[in-house]
Amino acid sequence: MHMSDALVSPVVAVAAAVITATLVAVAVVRLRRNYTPSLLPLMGVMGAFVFAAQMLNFTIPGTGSSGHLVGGVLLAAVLGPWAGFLSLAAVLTLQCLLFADGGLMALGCNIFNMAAVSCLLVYPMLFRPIAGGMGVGRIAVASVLSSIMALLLGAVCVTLQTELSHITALPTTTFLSFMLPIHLAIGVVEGVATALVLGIAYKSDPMLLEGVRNHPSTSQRGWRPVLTLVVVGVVALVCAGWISDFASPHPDGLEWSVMRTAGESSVAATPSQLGAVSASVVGATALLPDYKGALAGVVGALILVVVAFVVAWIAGRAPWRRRDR
Amino acid sequence: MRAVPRGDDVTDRLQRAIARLRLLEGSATCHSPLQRVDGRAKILISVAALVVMLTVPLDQPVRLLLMMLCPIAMCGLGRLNVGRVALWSLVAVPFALAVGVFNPLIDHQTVAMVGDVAVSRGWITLVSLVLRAVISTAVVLCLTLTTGVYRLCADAGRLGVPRIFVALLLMVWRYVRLLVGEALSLRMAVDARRYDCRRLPLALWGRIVGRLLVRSMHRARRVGLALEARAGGGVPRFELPASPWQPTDTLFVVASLAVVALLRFVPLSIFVL
Repeated sequence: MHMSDALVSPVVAVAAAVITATLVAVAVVRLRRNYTPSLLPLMGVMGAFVFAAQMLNFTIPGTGSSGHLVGGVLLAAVLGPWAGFLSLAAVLTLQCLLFADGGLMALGCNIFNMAAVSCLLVYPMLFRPIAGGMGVGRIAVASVLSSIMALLLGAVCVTLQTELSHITALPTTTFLSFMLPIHLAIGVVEGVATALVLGIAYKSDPMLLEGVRNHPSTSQRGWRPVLTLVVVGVVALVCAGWISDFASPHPDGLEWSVMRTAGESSVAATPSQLGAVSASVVGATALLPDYKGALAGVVGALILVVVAFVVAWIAGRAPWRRRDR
Repeated sequence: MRAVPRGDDVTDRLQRAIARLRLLEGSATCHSPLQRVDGRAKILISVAALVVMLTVPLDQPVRLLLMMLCPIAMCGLGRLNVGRVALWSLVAVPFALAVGVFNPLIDHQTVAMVGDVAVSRGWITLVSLVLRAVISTAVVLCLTLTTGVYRLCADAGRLGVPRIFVALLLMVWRYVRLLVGEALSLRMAVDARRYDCRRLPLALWGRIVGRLLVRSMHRARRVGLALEARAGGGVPRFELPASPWQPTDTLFVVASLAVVALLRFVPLSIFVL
């Protein structure tokens, strides 16, 4: 579900970044208020655990394909919603930087779709009420339902963000009809995997989950999921409205100044003797004189890119390249 | 005839991940013009290049081809292996293809002629999506490879990212290699005991990862106690010492912004002969 930068427009990327940054700031304030030295290592090691566990695949029974843990619900269950959210945000940031999983500009979208949805919405609304009394059975049911819901909501967010970015020609409903069944299946697998891991951890040491659950920094006191949803929605609307001012159809500064001076939004070329001479030189030296327009443009740009690539490759293999050990 | 079981798919991936993490850390210590630039300048320029790249309309793949010069220039200035960066950048292509693959089927509007062949807008936007995915991934990889995670996090903190989040990033980074190594040893232990170890059945996977979770939490408790003993009650500092902003960094930012703007706004007609 990691979105690449290719799939978001600047407006959607900035709006998602603002919303995510707000949520991260709230999480930081809440953690700072009840900070204990043992909390940060726990969050860091659990983040690293999710990172490592994602590399261990398992066979999906009856399909021959494989799956892996996503980790949002698991982190929220172990660390609590805000600490889990922050931990998963750190994992997603490092995955973006180290393994190019998801783009830097789409990081806001990815953190929102995967971390905020699972830790701040699904966990308090679904997981906690079901698994509240603890017990392997309740943990299993809560894990499966929460994982399915988190992935479906995440898929809806991906669809909306892609549609708002005008990236795909598919209508929203058609796009959703492709995304939802796939993510429903992934959600079931993710849910079973989460249930297995949490169940084994709970059986191994029940206090492992209970002790963390009662950590002061992850307590649920004062946490209003619906209120947060409303606030996030209002922030999203405000951001979208504010940013869309910048994406107005009116001319930009350069075009505006050209219009003021020339009376038109673009300056037309005026024929001159020098222009005629240069055109004849270009015509005589052109690599593709018969091809006007698109193909010549593509070939010209491609040649430039290939030349730059070769130069960069030579620079990368040059004998002066040395390493400071 | 049944194929020989490939028992080490996951083992290979874990080993590759460890090697890649080591490479990422080592690459940042090379000497090159780009590695000498302040990390904040590189972050700013990378974000600027990505924002500018995203403003290129999807029906202008030639413009996006020009924008590809940004990561190539970063590779050149950083003395990075441009082939490896290009290969790693392909990781983002499948998802972009999955989203854009329907565009040629739906959008038939002809926007260009190549000889006698009409090229529809759907194909153009699909190519643009793939180019955008490759460029954005390559820029981020160049940023990480020429800066290193420690410096990157420290400079992100100096750009305003909360300290607790920076400390968390560095904590995850520290323990990623350790836990990936632990996952590798668990997996190798399973491989040693199983005849057909192509893929793990779900129940066995659950036991392994559950065990990894318990070990991780015990480790976290020990680390927490050690930190409490050493650092008292505050947020521990893992960041590298700050390096001052040099005039050359300003020059780098200005020159890079100029190049990015040139690539974005240069008239495409110069390529149309």
